[in-house]
Amino acid sequence: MAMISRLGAVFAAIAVLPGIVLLADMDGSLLGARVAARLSESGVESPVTAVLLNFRSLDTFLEVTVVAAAVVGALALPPAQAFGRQSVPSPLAGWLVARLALLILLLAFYLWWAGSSRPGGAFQAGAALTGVLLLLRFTRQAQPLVGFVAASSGPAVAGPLLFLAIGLLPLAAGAPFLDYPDGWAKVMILTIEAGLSISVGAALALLAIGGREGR
Amino acid sequence: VNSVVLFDAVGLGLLVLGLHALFFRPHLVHKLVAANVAASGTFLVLVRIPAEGVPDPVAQALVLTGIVVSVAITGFAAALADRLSAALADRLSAARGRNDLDGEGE
Repeated sequence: MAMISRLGAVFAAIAVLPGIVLLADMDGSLLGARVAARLSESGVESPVTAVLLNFRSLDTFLEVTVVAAAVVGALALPPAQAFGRQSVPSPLAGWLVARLALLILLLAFYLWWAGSSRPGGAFQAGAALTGVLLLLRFTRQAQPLVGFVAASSGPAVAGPLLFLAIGLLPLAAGAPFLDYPDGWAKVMILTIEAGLSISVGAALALLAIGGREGR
Repeated sequence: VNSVVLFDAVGLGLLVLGLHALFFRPHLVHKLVAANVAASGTFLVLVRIPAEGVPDPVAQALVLTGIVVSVAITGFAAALADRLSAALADRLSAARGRNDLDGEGE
């Protein structure tokens, strides 16, 4: 067994290391230049968002599908031991957390909107939403919402489904999957990103909590 | 030191360290951390790919995708490891219970 894993390590080192160095030494400017040349057609001004939600949107669609699969997998496990049953009620937690949660929600909204023109987007906004949900979780606020998020695959699956639905729309006009029609790219990208923000936020919170809690 | 060389050296170093721990540490949580360290190494090499003096957006998008996927996998693997250790603890205490009964019979 030890022999096999040792061989595996050597093989991984031999196969992976040169692969990564070669990849890094490829003329990366080629792709970067092509993105810059056609950025104006993408509907957004941020090159990273253009790659994620337009030029390589299929990759992003598959990526959020992986996140949804992780959520479905975590929910398929038996319930975990409930976290911290006995908590000391704090007079500060409710007041502070409610205000912090609103501030972080505002930040998430900004990150979603900023994604079209500067660093930001669905995953950053989703991470901020996860922050809100975990803050509520650890201070035992908004328990119905947190309980729903921790036990349902619905939000995690809804984002990819919305992505799929919007991606299928161009097919009606004879265009390829995810080929946004002229003038609609920005609206469609922002709609997908709004759905993904909520989806990623709920999925990461569920995974951080570790699936269903019981007993 | 040239910053490209520095990024590559640190990235490859993290990858080797992570892979080593992933294969030789028996503890599941160690393996989980190791896989993330190895992944960080590859991300570090990827984000330094330049495009005309600024970071390449394609490489950045690739790394962002990689980070999200590795977070999802880490979350699922951690949940799996948690249930596994709970099941092991249950089995251990059950075995111990049987041994105690055997002891009383003697």
